[in-house]
Amino acid sequence: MNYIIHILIILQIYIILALSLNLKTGFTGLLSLCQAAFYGTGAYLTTLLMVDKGLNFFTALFLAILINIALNAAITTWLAGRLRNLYFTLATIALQIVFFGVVYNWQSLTRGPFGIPGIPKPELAGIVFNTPLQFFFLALFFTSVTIVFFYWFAKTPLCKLLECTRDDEVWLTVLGKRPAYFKFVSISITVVFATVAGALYATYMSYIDPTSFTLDESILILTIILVGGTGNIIGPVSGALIYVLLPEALRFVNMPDSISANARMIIYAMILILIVRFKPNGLFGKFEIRG
Amino acid sequence: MINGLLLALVALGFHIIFSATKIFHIAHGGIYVAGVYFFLWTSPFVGVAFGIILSVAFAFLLGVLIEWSVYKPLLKKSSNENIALISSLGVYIIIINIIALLFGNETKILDNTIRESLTLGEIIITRPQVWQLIFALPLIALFLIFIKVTGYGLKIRAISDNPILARVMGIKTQNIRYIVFGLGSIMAVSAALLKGFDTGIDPYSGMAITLSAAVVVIIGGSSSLYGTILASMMLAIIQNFTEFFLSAQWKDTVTFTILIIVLLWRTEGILHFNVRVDEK
Repeated sequence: MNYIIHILIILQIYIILALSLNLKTGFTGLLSLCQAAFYGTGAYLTTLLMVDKGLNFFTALFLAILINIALNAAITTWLAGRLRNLYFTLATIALQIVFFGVVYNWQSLTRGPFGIPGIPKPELAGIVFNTPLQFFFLALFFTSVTIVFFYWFAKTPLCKLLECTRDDEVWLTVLGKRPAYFKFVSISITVVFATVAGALYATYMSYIDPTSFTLDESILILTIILVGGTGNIIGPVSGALIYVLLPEALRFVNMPDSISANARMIIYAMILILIVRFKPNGLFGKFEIRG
Repeated sequence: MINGLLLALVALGFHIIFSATKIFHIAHGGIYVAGVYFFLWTSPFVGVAFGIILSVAFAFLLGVLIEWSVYKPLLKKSSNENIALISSLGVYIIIINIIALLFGNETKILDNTIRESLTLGEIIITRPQVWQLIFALPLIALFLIFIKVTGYGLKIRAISDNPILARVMGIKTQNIRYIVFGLGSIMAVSAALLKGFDTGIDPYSGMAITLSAAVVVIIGGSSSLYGTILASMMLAIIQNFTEFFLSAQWKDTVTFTILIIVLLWRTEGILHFNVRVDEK
């Protein structure tokens, strides 16, 4: 039973990540490979605020979101304003790698490769989310909030303006709007939810180290939304489902663990190439992915 | 310096692929690694020299195969460069994981003998590094001659300038694309073999060198081969200084900080000369 709950919690973390990246890449058209940097910054900030400053989970999460927006969203928006298409994607790869280098090497703050153990569980009004089942409901709460938020957000006029940023920036400028502002809004919302996912991951695992937030992780999250499809809710959710359930399915066909990690990546990359080739908007996506 | 030469080899291969086909070829790193593993696999049967020839041929075929199976269909659909980037990532992941499945994840060393080193004053050079110097320089020179002097080189430059016009002029662009991919792969695998004899190889080392090569191509400017070579040297020297003064872990961070700075400051690269508008 705990095994199923564990899978469901991981699934929910990936759903939150995929949905938040979907806003940036699907709606606003900024193909980026630095989601793991956002996610990792969120995880580290929450952890440090909880462990070193002894704050409550929710206070820490709130502060982490603010700091993360100030850090990552500002930098990414600046890059997005200056660079286009391939060069922006490349710059986000650079950002991701710089992030990893800083976290790995700034040992006095992040303890570098040793990671931070013993992260306390979240606590609300005397209830500690200790058992997996309790944590499952906490994650379920955040996931539902995320899904409802994006469902609502897709209908707002603001979201239409984000789509306009993707489709025709010049036209947006003609209308008297500033594209940079909308990019900032979009990236900030992405950062907010990535921070939530990071905080959930850190407190659930109660241990984090830099290797959870590498470029590979960013590639995987991007793969999730490309396979599932972008621009709506069902796409990223189904992508996350495929990503999380595939290794479990492989386990049931008695594939040994030593090769299943590699086999999983091969299958996943195959799916990716085929999807990009034959169905560029993913399984359920509304839009074709573009620069 | 020698690291710079090897990086220049990989980067030149990356450069012609990037400039001729506008594809950000991350699978280049896959070929880099695959060539060495192919050598590891064949050389016990056929000997070192023949193994090298075989693995170079293998890399050529692999490059052509990737173009034929993945990029060509995308070109037909006139997809955008980001799609190609994503497919390329997919190809890279597949190659790397197949290698990891077959050979395991750990570092492999090509040459187990203890190497005597030459001492020139205060500089110590190992035997493989001498080979690297001996092979890398002529390879770079040959490559430049091929691009700058021969008819194929002219055609490659033509399709990087304007593929449709090149086609109108009767150049078989698809064949040239195959040649570009094959040639680029040969450059990658020669660098990989030279590197492999010195420090060994593991399946995941391809990504770092491809990204470095990409950084070098961007920094050097995608219109100048000399810029690429110059930038490789500079980047290798900076990386070595970083390893010396800070630590090896900071290497990638420094590389990519430079990339961001160059992207923001001069997107077209450091060695770019503005052409008159009517020449564009």
